[in-house]
Amino acid sequence: MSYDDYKKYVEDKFKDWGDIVKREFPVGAKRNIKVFIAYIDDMVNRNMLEEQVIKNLMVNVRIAPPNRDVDYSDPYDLLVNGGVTTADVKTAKSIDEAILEVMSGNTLLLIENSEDILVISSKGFPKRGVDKPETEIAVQGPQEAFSESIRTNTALIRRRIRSTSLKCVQKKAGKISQTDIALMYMEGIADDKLVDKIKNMLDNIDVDMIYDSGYLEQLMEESAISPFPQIQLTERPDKTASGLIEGRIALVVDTSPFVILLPAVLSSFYQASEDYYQRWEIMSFIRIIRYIAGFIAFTLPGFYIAATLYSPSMLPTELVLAMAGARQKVPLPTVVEIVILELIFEALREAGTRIPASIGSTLGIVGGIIIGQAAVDANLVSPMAVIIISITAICSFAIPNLALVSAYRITKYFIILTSALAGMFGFIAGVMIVILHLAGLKSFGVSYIAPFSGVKESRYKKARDTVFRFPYKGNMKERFYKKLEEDTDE
Amino acid sequence: MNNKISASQLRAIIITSALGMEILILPIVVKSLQELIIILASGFLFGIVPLFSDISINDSRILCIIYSVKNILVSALMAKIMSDVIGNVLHNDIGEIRTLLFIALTAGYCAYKGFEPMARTAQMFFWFIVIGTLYVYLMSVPDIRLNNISLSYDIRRAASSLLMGLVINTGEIIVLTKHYAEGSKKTTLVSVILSLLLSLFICFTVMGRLGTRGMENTAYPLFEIMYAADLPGMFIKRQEAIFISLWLVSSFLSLFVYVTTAADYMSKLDIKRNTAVLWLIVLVFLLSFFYDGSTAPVAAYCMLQVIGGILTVLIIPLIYIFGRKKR
Repeated sequence: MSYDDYKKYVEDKFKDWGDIVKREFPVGAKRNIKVFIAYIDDMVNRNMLEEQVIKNLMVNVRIAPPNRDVDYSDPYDLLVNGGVTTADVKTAKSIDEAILEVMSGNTLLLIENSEDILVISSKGFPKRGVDKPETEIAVQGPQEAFSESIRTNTALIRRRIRSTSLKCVQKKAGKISQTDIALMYMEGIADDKLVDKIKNMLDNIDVDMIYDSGYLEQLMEESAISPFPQIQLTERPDKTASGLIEGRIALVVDTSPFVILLPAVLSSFYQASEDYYQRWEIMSFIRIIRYIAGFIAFTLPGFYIAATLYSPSMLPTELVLAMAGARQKVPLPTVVEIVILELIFEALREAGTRIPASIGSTLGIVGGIIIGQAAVDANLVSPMAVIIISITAICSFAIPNLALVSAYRITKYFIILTSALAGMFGFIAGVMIVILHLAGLKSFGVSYIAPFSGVKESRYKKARDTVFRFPYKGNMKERFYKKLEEDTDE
Repeated sequence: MNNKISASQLRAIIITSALGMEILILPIVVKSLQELIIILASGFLFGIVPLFSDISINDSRILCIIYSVKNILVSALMAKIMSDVIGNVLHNDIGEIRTLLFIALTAGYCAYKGFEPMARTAQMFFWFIVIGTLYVYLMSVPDIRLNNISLSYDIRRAASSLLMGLVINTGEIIVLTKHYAEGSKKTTLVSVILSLLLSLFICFTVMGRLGTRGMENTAYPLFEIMYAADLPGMFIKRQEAIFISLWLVSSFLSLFVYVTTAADYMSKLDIKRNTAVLWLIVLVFLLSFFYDGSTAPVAAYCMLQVIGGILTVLIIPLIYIFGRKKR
């Protein structure tokens, strides 16, 4: 295809695009070479483009004396090595690839008498700055969170790992969206087979759009029907860097402020960045609290139902009498009472996420305190049921990962159901089913309950960073995920 | 899932299984210390035979049929015994049908998930079960009265005592897990010895606490000890419920071994695995109604383990041992 064919093709493709900037202008001392430039307004860094590219082409190239010893037979070489003063330029393999680059914020440059298509890196999307993390808050430690810009995010990670072993493979996914995805891993630490597997998965994703990393997460999970997250999302660069050093793989998705970390095992969802910034004694204690809270978060309502409905003799007599007294005027059966309260709490939580932060506290007061107290006073629910639901909620908030909290929220109803149907035995059977389910899950070949089970004992001894956070000796974190294929699938 | 299990997972399965159905049955059938020792010793021997046999049930259709049938029958009786224990000991007034349905469905879910998740679950629960159970029985040691332990033993019962060693399902678990286990013989042997020592200690404690008469007068002597369990400062009043729950988990784990392997064997018989699991749930549920009361299912279980065990734990593994030597 010639310069004119390319130009026509580009103009056809960008027909009715109000936000595209296209311009043809002559360059060279004799103004005898036409160039055609195209970019999308506000997706490029205009300053860089105008100063380093357009100004050079229109002014600097023209003022070169025409009798200078310059080879005008290769205009492409002339412009690339003399007109465009930026290092980040490349030749597109096809016109379609160049158009895709334009849609990604780069600039296309066609040169008369040349079949090469030049793509100048000029991305300059409007973007948020680096804000504080909102879902993984740490009192001590870095206060940076990822943003929606893929380059900002990869830079935040690179800033923490200044090693040539940190590889960043660029991929695109989504047939229409062509979303940029950066696959980052530590060469020599991450499992090579796993890296290849992830690359293949990304190449074979068959959807039109990748809206967010959460979308990609669900497409990549091995067990889609499980409520438990098998991939970890994080908004913290320090956590991502730490994961990479452990041998995990990070996927940075453009337009998403959450980075994917994989593989992810259950214990990794109980870890918070802050665990490593404070002393080991207190953080180990807090870890234990988290594990207990996690168990309570999905079992307490079920246990309460089983104990009060079927096995009240398990509880101290005084407590049983107090509870019976409080429930005397409550017309609803215990199960219905607990389920209704849980559902009200879910609604309250959902409302709390949607309403502006300025009236969030009002919702808490109205929903939690006023309505709760009124419901107890009106004998609609018993005080004990309110206490149970509140403890469950508090415990769920003690888990540092929202995806795991959501999984426990769903699992809790299953345990309520089994306990309501078969009392204490149903409770035990329900918990066993949940543990069997967890034991059957795998995250990219790694047992979900590793290192507690599903890995060789030698690796278990390495993985000391689970329920306890032991004091640092040598490496801060053992490379638990390193060369996993050799050790898992016993 | 590659359905392969490690040495530590096999250890967990063997020991937790011993702390389930085995320690429930032994105090019921044993009358004297000598009998207990003979049963445990023969149980050890029955455990050794499969250990040195290279039997692989999954590779033979005939073996798959034999072991599937045996496993289904054992599972149904286990479910029945568990249901009775739940009704009598846990005071869970939910009715036998609902209890059995729950047991069958839970076992079915395990069979659906496969052997590897089951082994991992056993490994997860291992220390909770061992420590919890040991705690209860260690607390009871000061109350042991040596004169409660009967030493009168009729030597003519030796043959039947030896056969009763088949009630200890360690040998059978080794046969059933042979296809999945990757651990060394030494580790398995240590696990067998540990499980038998635990059984010996628990049965000795029960005998020493209750005496022969006390054991005869109780449907499940094992749980009598648990009533005495008392963790200081615990909020829960009936703490035996916690320990009974641990026993339930152990029993579930032994039941899971039988049901999961049965599902695997049935799938080797050209039955789709999911269909096999459905059949298992239905069969375990329906067959468990065959016997009623507390004593009949236990007697039937012992008889099945002894008669069926001669074939499944002794004869078939021996054929493989001698067959290999001939080759």
